[in-house]
Amino acid sequence: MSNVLSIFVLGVSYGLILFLLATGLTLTMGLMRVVNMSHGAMYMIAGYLGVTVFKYTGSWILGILAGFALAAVLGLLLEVGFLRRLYNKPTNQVLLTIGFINIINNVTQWIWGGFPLSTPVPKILNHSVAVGSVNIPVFRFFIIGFGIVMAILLWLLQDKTKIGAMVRAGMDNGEIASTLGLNNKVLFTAVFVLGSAIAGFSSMIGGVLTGLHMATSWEVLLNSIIVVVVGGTGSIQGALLGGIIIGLVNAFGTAYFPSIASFIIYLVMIVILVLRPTGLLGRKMDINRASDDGIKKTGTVSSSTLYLAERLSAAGGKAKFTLTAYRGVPYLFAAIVLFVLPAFMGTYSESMMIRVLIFALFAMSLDVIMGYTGLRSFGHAAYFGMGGYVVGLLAKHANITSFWAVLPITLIICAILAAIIGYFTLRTTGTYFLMVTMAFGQLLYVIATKWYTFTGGTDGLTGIPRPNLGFAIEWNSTKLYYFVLIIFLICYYILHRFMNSSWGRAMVGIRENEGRMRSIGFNTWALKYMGVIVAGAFGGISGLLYAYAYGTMVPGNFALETSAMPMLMVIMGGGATLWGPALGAMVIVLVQNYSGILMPDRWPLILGIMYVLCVMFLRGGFSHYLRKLWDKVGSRVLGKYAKAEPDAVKNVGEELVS
Amino acid sequence: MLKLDKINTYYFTRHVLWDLSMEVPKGSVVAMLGRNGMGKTTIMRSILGLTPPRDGAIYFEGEQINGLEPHKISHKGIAYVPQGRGIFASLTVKENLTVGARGQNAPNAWTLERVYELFPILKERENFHANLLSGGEQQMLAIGRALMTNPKLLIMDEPSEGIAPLVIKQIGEVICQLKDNFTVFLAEQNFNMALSVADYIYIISNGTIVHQCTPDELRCDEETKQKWLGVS
Repeated sequence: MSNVLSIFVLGVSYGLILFLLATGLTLTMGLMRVVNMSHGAMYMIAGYLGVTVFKYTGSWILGILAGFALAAVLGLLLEVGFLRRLYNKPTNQVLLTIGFINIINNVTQWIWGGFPLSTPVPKILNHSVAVGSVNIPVFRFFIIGFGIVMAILLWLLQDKTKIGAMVRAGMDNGEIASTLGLNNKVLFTAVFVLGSAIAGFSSMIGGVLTGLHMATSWEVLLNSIIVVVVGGTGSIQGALLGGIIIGLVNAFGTAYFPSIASFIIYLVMIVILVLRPTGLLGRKMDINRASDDGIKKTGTVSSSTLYLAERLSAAGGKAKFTLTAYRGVPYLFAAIVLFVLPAFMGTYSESMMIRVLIFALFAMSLDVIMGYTGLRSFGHAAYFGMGGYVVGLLAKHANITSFWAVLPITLIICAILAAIIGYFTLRTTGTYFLMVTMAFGQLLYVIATKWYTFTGGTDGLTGIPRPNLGFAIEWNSTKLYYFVLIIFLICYYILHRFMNSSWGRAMVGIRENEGRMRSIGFNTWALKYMGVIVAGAFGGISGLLYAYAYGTMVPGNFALETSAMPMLMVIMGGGATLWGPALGAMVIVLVQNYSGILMPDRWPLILGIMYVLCVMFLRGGFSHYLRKLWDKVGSRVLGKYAKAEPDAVKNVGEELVS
Repeated sequence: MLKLDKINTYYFTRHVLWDLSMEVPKGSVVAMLGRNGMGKTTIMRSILGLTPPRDGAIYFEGEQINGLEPHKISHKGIAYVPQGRGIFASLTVKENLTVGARGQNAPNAWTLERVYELFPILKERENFHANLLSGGEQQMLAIGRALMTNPKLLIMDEPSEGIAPLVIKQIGEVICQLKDNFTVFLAEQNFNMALSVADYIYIISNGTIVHQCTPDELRCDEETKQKWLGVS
């Protein structure tokens, strides 16, 4: 009995900390549909500063205030300096804040050396009370008290003050609120800073339960996202309920089913998702706002395609044939370069190019759902990891090494996995989809970590043999390169055909306006479901190649960082092009490689800065600019061959310059 | 008081308003008539800054307001009663009224008491969540909410839409009451209501003004009624 009480106290106190973290997330989501992925990172760095201040001053209160101030300042900086420019661009917001996780984590590591800190507890509270046979630390009761006081204050702020009413009005209908003279931007900044400040404020107190180390940023973020999914977005009450549920489930799960404890909270999340896709106390979503990509720049791709055709016909050209041929040139050129590259490269560069191709395929597979269909999946590592693990597990447990058996098995398993994940995640849209796919990816990460006997736990699977193609082959890096290249090109071709088929066009239609597609008779759910499965299967192939190339799979291949990577590649290269993300992959892998040589400790910082620069300045991605450039050249060159009247060509030229 | 000078408004690439100019003189009620999808709401959204026109100018009391953010335009003294009411569902009736309230201290200002006087039913429902109100009550709430910002110009988008005839009559009366101190600009589908309250009528079709006249002229102008409004 006393044992149960002790677990209960632990659960509630942890739940209240999660509530305080989730509050910031849920309010910013409800008001502006912004998910601040760096929420956990702010919590962590605030905790580090707080503990340090405590160390030097000996004052616990001062430590808490330092954390509070740092998080508030960071929140203000992030909102006013960056997020404000990215309203209505959810993908960019997510990547921006992921970039900030990398930056904050790396800076923390730089300053504090990356060691976990133990969070101090003030002397008065630093003892335990005996309840029956167990001792419960008094500090846990303090946390509960603190959490309850904060909950009441926040609830009063939300429900009983004019500011709270303004925030709720903004969530209900931001547009109308603005016509009443409410300044949504200022309101949102205030809410954002408040959310960050609460996270910073709680860090010294919550650090006792959550720990303060490098992984805290992600752990805390993930758990508070689950809280938001369970409780529903946009209300303090939802965050409180979700927090307590998850806290208790976590505590009792850990106590009674330690081996599967980590699954249980995901299980709770999935059940809630099935029963109530908007969470237990979620706000009803306004249909117009639910599709939060409502306002976005559309048709950059198609307009660019039209551009060359228009210019050519303006110049009097027989555009059709020359256009296709002209557009094919870069593809052919790239293929040729890829084939002859090994002649100029050493082993080192070859293995680097192998990595490029693998990640290019990974990014392309994400492009199917993210770029074309507009579904922001933050759990794509699930398929990458699964593909690789299947290869490793087949070799380890079933002794199946024949490539011709492994490939179809991997494909089928990844497709089934995608079918399962897609079934649950497609109940949601927009930001919710992102959070739920994230949780599913993490679920697999947990399985890979915990199921030691089967997956090798944190050590992962090692010694995965090179592919057995059925004939004797002496593998070296060149042969491996060609093996990867051929599979890459085949996958590229298949994906390209897919995405240019009527089916692929329909996917783009869904991205642009799902409601309209549905109303003209498309089963958009089935289309999206198919997209998820295709993306999953091809993601699996990239994992398979990775396993063959590196011979090792570790749980990290399932991790959120692995999921974030292809998202950045898609944004960097430009979505809905396939080759854009591949190009993005190349840039990132190369930068990673060279920064790894020059300053290995600062790679996450560089990566973080790349995230920020990409989303702030690279609108539309590389592919957008490259295509424009190529079309510019094309309309000049082809325009001349089309024997146009000189005037028309001249006009084209002038227009192009202006 | 309000002047639109050749505005052109787009939704992304779609050109909706074409060189549209109109004027709302101080102290008058101006009504726009026209079928669905002809651009009436877009004209209002252009004025309010929700869908700013790409070119042309909008003047309010001689001051150019296009290009300002919606909340700044609101502070110039323009209030909006949106189509479909757009009440804040998670706020109580009272909160709906007070959330944007300002200028309460001026003499003759719209205060909670005066709004309750105008719509006594809202007083009774004060602590209800606004989504529990009937359509007519919500419409009153939306009007009250707009009045609470103490505007100089009231823009109403189809105040009679989806509301019981008795309530329409009541709302029409309220508009007539307001007329003394207010300038009202409204869009209507309800021909009779529009004609009963308005001083001047614009008929909108495909993003341009196709006809303008006084209500009395329109009443007798069978051809225009038939052609643009489908009433006779």
